[in-house]
Amino acid sequence: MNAVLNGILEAKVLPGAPARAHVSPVKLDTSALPGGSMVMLLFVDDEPEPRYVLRMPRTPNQPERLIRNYRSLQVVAREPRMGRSVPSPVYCGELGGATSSVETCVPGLPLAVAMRVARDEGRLDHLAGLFRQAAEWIWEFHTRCDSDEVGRSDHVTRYARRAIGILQRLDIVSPAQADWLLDVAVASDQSMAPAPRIHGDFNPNNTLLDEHGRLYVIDWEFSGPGWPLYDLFTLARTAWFHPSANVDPSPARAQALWDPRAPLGRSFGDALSRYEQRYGLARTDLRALFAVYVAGLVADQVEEMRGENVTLTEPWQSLLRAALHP
Amino acid sequence: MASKFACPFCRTLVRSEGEGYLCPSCRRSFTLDHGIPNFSTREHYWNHLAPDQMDFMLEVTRTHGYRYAVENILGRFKDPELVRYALGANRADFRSILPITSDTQVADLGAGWGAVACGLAPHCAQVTAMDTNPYTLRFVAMRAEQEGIGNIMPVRIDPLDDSRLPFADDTFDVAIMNGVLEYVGTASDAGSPSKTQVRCLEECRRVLKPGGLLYVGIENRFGYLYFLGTRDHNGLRFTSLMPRALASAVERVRKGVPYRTYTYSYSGYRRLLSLAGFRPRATFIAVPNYRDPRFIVPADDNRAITYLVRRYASYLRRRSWRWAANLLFGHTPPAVCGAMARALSDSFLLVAESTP
Repeated sequence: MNAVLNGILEAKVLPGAPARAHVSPVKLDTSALPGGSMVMLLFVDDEPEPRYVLRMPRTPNQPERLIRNYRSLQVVAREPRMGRSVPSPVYCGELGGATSSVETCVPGLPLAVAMRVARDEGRLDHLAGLFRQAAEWIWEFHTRCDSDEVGRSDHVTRYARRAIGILQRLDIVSPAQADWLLDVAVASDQSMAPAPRIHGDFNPNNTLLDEHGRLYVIDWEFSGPGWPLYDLFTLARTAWFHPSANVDPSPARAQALWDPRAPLGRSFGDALSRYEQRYGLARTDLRALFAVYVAGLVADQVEEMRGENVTLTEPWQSLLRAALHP
Repeated sequence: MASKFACPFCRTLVRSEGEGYLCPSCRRSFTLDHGIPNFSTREHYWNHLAPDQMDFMLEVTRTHGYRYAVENILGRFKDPELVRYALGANRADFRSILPITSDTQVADLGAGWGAVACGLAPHCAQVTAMDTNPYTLRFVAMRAEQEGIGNIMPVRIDPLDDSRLPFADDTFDVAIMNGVLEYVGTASDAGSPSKTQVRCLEECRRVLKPGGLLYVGIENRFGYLYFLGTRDHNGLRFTSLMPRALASAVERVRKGVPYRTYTYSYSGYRRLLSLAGFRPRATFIAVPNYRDPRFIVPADDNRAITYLVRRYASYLRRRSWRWAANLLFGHTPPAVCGAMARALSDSFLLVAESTP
């Protein structure tokens, strides 16, 4: 670590070249997944708050996510209205023998904390308000930051093929329903082409809220061309059903996500309406896509378990059935 | 093979002979069990699973992969928390406070399920994963193979209380003791646990190169959770906070054995390391604990601690706790915040340098 910190100071990658070579590391990490990055907060000079974030890949020969994070920040930071709500990229390259990146540190606490408090205290209107704020941010992002990469335009179809296979294997859908889901996926790919840039992991842990209620979005490691509804669905699922939140996984809770009388259902519905209008999709199509999205996450787990003993835990079942059976 | 095996009894370098090793001096022989060097000289078993369960676990690891085995056997039948403990890629994130490079020889003492060894291996020359349990060592070997890691060498050793590491002097650059030192005293009833711990640390110093680093991840004896009733290593409440003699009396009454899982305070660890010939180089506070560190902060950096404490206070689940924490830390000077964190934090990560 010292080598990397010294590398930062010697290479003078930090703007304004801090006068004092006193940089204190604080490791801050919420991910236990392999392939992720270690995140360090850098304190500069005598400032009480950290000014920079240093990222180092957990596996030295796999800096891809770190580089993708940096490149995405460069793209988003260029957009005048979005740029202030993401960290500014400072440096990406070799530091002390390891690929590392430096970005500015944005203030605030994870939105997940505020959402958890709202959920615990039964303040569902407040939870829905937080969701609405994040959903509006992601909508702005999807409409303003078009992908600058030449991406494929079959993101939903590819995702759906894998997901539908799982749904059939678990007897969640009939062959006819599977065909319909695939048709919806192909149609949405056509209507969403060219694929816009998405965040790729837009969950409330990657969204910070400062004391003035401003939103900041971090961790762009999975960003790239994709299907924009993926971000909105991730936000909805994690806001309502985040596994670590230890929330009630009952079907009624999953149905509430689609219920316009429920606070979160109303916010989610409003957010979906925008995408309906922009891409000319019907609500039933969006529900089908949500089922595809959830099934894709199940497929990830099944893949991790090498396809053995595939069972569906209650939250996944509830989410799938609520989306597929209005 | 970079590690130099030495006879654990007379410390003469052993030589390969047939399917094992032979000490040319005292003529003791040591076997290879399932390809793992076995320098164990006495029976000792500790694991989350019993031997017959471990046999099954190893079979499933072989046929279905280690991840599946951990999630479906350890996680489902023992404790879901163990899945993160055994698999979490962040278990070895403490490497960020150690100068580990591609030339570093690492000794992982008490390798367990291999999460630390597998996390460190991509960053260093070799990890020698030592444990007393032959089953978990086989698991580590399979796990490393399935992950495509070629620089982990599992070695079976005796419990660390009797100072018999089967390596020559000055073998390793870094020695890791993550959640191990507190248990060193429990392998036998002889002698004082603190003297046993010092002896164990001295043995670590012997196998470390001069200037080599020892890393210890361990609980704070006066960690705030103990005041709130969290159980000590012996399964009893508040024994960590009691004077040793009283803790021993309580454990004798409740469990029939003396108290031997000694942990220490911030200054106590520094004294212990100094007694064993180490120069404490840095101490870090791990939050929430050393087993699953989300935050690591230098224990002497009051500014960083203050930032972390205030931030962490906002994560508290109960509104009353958040209110109390904000009241307590919101306007507390950094020096006081730092002192309180050093006194009451759950865990420490200690880095000490071997002195000649």
